[in-house]
Amino acid sequence: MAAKKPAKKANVSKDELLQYYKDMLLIRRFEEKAGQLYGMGLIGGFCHLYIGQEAVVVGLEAAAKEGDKRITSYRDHGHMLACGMDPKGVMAELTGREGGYSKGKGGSMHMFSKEKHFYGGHGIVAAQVPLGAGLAFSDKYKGNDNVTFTYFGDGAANQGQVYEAYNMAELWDLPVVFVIENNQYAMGTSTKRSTKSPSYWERGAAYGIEGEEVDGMDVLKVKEAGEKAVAHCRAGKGPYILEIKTYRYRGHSMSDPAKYRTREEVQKIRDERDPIEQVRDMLLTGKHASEDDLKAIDKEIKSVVNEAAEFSKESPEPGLDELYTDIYMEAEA
Amino acid sequence: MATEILMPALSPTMEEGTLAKWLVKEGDTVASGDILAEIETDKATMEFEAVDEGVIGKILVAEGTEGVSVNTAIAIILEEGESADDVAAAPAPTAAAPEAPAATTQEAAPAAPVAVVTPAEADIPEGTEMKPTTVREALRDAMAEEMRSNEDVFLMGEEVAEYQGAYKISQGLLDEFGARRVIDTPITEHGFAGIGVGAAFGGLSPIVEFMTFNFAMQAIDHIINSAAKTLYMSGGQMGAPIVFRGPNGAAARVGAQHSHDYATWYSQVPGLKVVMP
Ligand SMILES: Cc1ncc(C[n+]2csc(CCOP(=O)(O)OP(=O)(O)O)c2C)c(N)n1
Ligand SMILES: [Mg+2]
Repeated sequence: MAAKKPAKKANVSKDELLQYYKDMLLIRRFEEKAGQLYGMGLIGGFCHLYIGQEAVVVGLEAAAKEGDKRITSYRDHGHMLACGMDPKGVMAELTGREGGYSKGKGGSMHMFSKEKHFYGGHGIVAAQVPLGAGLAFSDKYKGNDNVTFTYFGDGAANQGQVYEAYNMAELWDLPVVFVIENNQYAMGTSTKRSTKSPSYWERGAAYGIEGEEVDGMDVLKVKEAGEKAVAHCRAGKGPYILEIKTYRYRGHSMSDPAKYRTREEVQKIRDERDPIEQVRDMLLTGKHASEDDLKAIDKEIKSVVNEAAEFSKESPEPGLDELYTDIYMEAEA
Repeated sequence: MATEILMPALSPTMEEGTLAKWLVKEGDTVASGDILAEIETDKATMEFEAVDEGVIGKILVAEGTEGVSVNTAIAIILEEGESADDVAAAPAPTAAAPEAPAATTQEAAPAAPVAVVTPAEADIPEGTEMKPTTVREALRDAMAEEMRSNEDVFLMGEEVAEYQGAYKISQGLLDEFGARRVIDTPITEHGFAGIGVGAAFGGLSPIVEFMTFNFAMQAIDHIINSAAKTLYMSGGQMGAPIVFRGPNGAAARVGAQHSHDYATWYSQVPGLKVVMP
C-alpha cells in the first residue's frame, strides 16, 4: 500500500524524517490500542480517535519551540502524544484511572499538562477557539514570543465564537495560529451539507487575517506551513489561519454507524494519501532506512504502547472521595 | 405662557446634581437644541439642552449650586410678549419637588452615606478607621488595590476603559494602569469571556466585566463549562482564576431583559463562588 506518488526531493534531514515517522506511528498504534481497549470495555464514554490525521500535529509540533502552547477539542490524543506527554498517563486517563493525567476525572476528552503547555482537551465544540486566543493574550501580555496553536474542526468552524475570537485576535495582534483540521466531516455531516462557503481559511479575510490551505496528509507540507504561520505570529503580525485538509479513517467516536460515507471513499485515501506511508516511502526510496530498520521502529513503538496499556489497566480507579476534590482551590494555610 | 425649565435626570439613577454652569443669561433668546447649562451628576458632567423656544426670563438656581433635586425648576422661559415681571407676579412655581429647593438640599451630603454601621459579625480588627464610601467606589478601589499589588490582574469588558465604565465602576483605572491592563472589548460577550478564561489558563488573573449579567447569558458556556469545571477535570492541575463582575438583578424600569437576578443560578454550579453586596 505504498503511496503512489514518487518521493520528492524534500529539504529535510534523515533524522527529521525518522522522527516524524516515529511520532506519527506512535499516534496510530496508540489509537489502535485505545480502540481495542474500548472494545474490551476498559474505556467508557466517548473516545474519538485521530487515525488518519497524524501528520497535522506532528508537522506543526515540528514548527513549534519550547514555550509554545496548544489547545484542542475532544479529539485530543494525537496532540498530547505529539507534544511529548507520557502515553501511560494519557492511556490511564482513557481508562479513568488514578494514574491518568487528570486522575481519572477528565477522561478521553479532558487532559492537561502545564509542563508540556497543553491546555486541553475541550468538549464544547469551538469553545477552545477563544480560549486559545486567551492563551495567546497571556503571552502577549507577558511580553514573550510564545505562540499558541489553537486546533478546531470543520464543524467547529461554523460556530459564532470562532469569529468573535478572530475579530479580537486580529484587533489585538494576538500570537495565535488558528488550525482548522478539516477532516471533511462533523460527526456524520459532510462539509458539503453544512456550508456553501467551504474554504474555511478564507473566512479570516473578513477580519484581516491571513491564512492558507495545506495538504494535511503530507507532514513536510504541514511543517513548512506551520513555520510560516509561527514566524508571522512571532513577528508581532497577529494571528494566522491554517486550514489543513485531512481525513479521519475511523468513525467520529467509537459508536459511529458510518452510514454517511462509503467504505471505498475511506479506502481510497488510505491507499493513496496515507501520511505515514508517504514518509515510509521517502525513508525507503531515499535509502535513509531499510525495511529492517523500520521493523525495529515498529517494534519499539508497539512496546511503548503495550506498556501504556498495561499501566492503564493496573492503575487503580480513583477513590469516591475524589468526587469532592479539585472543585475549588484549597485555601492557602 | 411661561415655561419652567426643570432640573433634568441625566441617568436612570440620578436623583440630584450640581448646576455647574449656565451657558445662557436672563434676556437671551433660545431655540430648542441650544445648550443651556452644564450639569454634573455623580458620574459625569453633561450638557443640558433647551426643548422649548423663547427668552430666558429668570434664572432660579444659581450656577455652582450643589444637590439640586431632579424636577426642581431652575429657570423660566418666556414666550413672545411676556415679560419677566409678569412671571414674578405669577404664583410660586409648582415644581415636582417644591419641598426640596436648591438652597436647602445643598446641605445634604450628595453621595456618601453619613453614618457607617459596622455589622457586629464583621471580622474587622478593633480600632480600624472606617471611611464612608459608595459601593461604586469601593468596587473600583478593590480592583485598583489588586491591580497595584499584582501585575497579572487586568480588567477587560465593554466600555471599561475610555468610557470609564458603563456604570462608572472602572472610573480612573485607565489613567492609572494604562491600556495594556484596562481593555475595551468589542460587544462580543461569548468571545471575550472565552479569551478571559484562556488568559487565566495562561497564568493571568483577569477581571471580566459584563455590562450587566443579563448579557452574560451569551457567555454562560465559558463561565460554567470552561472556567468552573476545568480545575476538576484536570485533576487539580490547572483551573481558571478569574473574576466575572457586573451589575445583577433588579434594575428600575428597564424591562425583564435588563433586570434578571442570576445569583441563585450561578450559586448552583460547583466551581463558582458567587459574591453579591
Ligand atoms: C456546542 C456543541 N454542540 C454539539 C456537540 C456534539 N458534537 C461533538 S463533536 C461534534 C462534531 C464536530 O465536528 P468537527 O468540528 O468537524 O470536529 P471533528 O470531530 O471532525 O474532529 C458534535 C456536533 C458538542 N460537543 N458541542
Ligand atoms: Mg471534522
